[in-house]
Amino acid sequence: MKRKIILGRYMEGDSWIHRLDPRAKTAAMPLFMVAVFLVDGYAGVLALLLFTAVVIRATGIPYRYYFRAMKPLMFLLLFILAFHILYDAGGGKLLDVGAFKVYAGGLEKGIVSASRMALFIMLAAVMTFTTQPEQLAQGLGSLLRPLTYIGVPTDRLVLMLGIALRFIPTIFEEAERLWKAQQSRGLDLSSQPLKEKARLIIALLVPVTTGAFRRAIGLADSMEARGFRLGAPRSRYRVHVWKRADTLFIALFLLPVAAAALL
Amino acid sequence: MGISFEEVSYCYRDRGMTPILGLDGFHLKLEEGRMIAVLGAPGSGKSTFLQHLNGLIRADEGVIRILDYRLDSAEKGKIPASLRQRVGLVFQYPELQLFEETVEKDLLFGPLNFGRSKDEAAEAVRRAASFVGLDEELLAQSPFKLSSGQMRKAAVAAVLAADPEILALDEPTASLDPASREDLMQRLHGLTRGQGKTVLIVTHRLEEVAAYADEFVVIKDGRVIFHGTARELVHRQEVLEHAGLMAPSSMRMAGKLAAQLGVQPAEMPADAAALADWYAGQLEL
Ligand SMILES: Nc1ncnc2c1ncn2[C@@H]1O[C@H](COP(=O)(O)OP(=O)(O)OP(=O)(O)O)[C@@H](O)[C@H]1O
Ligand SMILES: [Mg+2]
Repeated sequence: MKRKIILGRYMEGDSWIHRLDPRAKTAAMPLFMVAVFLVDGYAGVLALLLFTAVVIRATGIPYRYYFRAMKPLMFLLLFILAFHILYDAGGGKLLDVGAFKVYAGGLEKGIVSASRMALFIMLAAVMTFTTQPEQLAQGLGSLLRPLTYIGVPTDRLVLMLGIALRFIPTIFEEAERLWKAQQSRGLDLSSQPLKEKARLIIALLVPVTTGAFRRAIGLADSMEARGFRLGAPRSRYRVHVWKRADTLFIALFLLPVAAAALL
Repeated sequence: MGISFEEVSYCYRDRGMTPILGLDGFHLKLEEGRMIAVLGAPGSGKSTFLQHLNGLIRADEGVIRILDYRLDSAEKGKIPASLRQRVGLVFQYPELQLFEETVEKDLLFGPLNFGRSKDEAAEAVRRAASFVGLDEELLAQSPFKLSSGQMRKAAVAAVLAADPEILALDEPTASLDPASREDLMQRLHGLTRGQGKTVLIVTHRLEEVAAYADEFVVIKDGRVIFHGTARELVHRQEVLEHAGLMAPSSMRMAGKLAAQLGVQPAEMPADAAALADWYAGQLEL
């Protein structure tokens, strides 16, 4: 449990990206997605990677944190890459060893698909690293506000999302503290055979979930005890003011879209 | 043997990017078989210190020697299971320590992990429960249905059941009623005298340990700023002030009486009951 999963965590910082209006950040996300899906060649991928590298730089959080965020999904990335290399024929033949053939087209598709995924994870990490979960949920809420007119309960959705985001770290903490409590009283996974190890890890899931539920119920009670009612008017702790930097940030994301469409 | 921390430093790194100092050049030597009270303002590093004792937290720098183990910061080797058995740690928040479906299973967890037979473990659990004064009827309950005082007792019993040589308790008397508090202190003190165990107690209530603790350790900002006996501490109330703690009323009274009677505070006991006896003795003279 030394190496913690860090995707979805907030990292304190004071970069201009941290200070952006969460609405600007949530609005930039779909733009980036468009760019990611438009991209279909090496040049486009390279342009987007460059763009992302610059954005990451601007967050002031070291690159290695982003690599760590990607780590749990590395296997999936490799799988996507291998899948295309093995099953996509097209373009010139690059390699031919018995039944194993690699085509230039397949390689390119594999690299592009895996990079799409990686780009997406990196940008998602930029969002969650630089924005507190409640803010992220609030930003999304403001963007979805117009939907209230057609009867979508955005308040409820945002509260649910906010609580879900709020609880991701809680669940990790819950697992960690249980792990500590059990280790302190002599649980030793490494000396166990594989089967026993799997059983113990699964056994850990039960108290983690019940613990998280217990905390959720406690949280709901304490919110209610302090006067929170769903749907009741409530003043915001942080009122967001749209600044020029926010407009610029969104405009900035037109760059990758254009690059992806043209390259 | 005993416990020794040599210039131990530790930083918490997992919240965001700015490391938070836990221990900073922490230096301390303790002998076995004594009762040691650990004091310090909130956030001074008391819990961090305790978690180093059985290797739950590994130091970034420095060397920790405990019993016949050496926990080196340089090679972060595995923590031997026997260390975890011989050094028992009661967490600050009992609700964060208990996890099994019933109190009994929770109490059994340690002894069974350390290789006791079922019968031995059950016997150890029964003894630990009665030691802390936990009703046997509660054993079949879920730990989360207990009152907070009962939960505290269960958490202490869960660690005692593994029969550790060194017992480190993080604020074990918080949420206990005065009677149980006094009782627990007395029993823990008994462990050091009767069975030669070492007991470390983190507490915010100096007066409750004053009568029992052999030694006091005061921590400020992850460093040890005082290590000595209660009488020495009476003497040096400025240490407590510097650490952001308040001297208990008995100590302040001892200081005042000493000034009035013109005696050395070092001759005076620190806890209220003993101080009253001492004063009565003085009046008779
Ligand atoms: N899990 C953690 N992650 C990050 N920082 C932590 C963690 N636990 C403690 N700290 C920090 O380490 C420092 C020492 O904390 P510690 O818990 O040891 O204090 P304490 O003396 O036990 O306080 P208290 O009397 O409130 O229990 C504090 O500044 C605290 O914020
Ligand atoms: Mg503490």
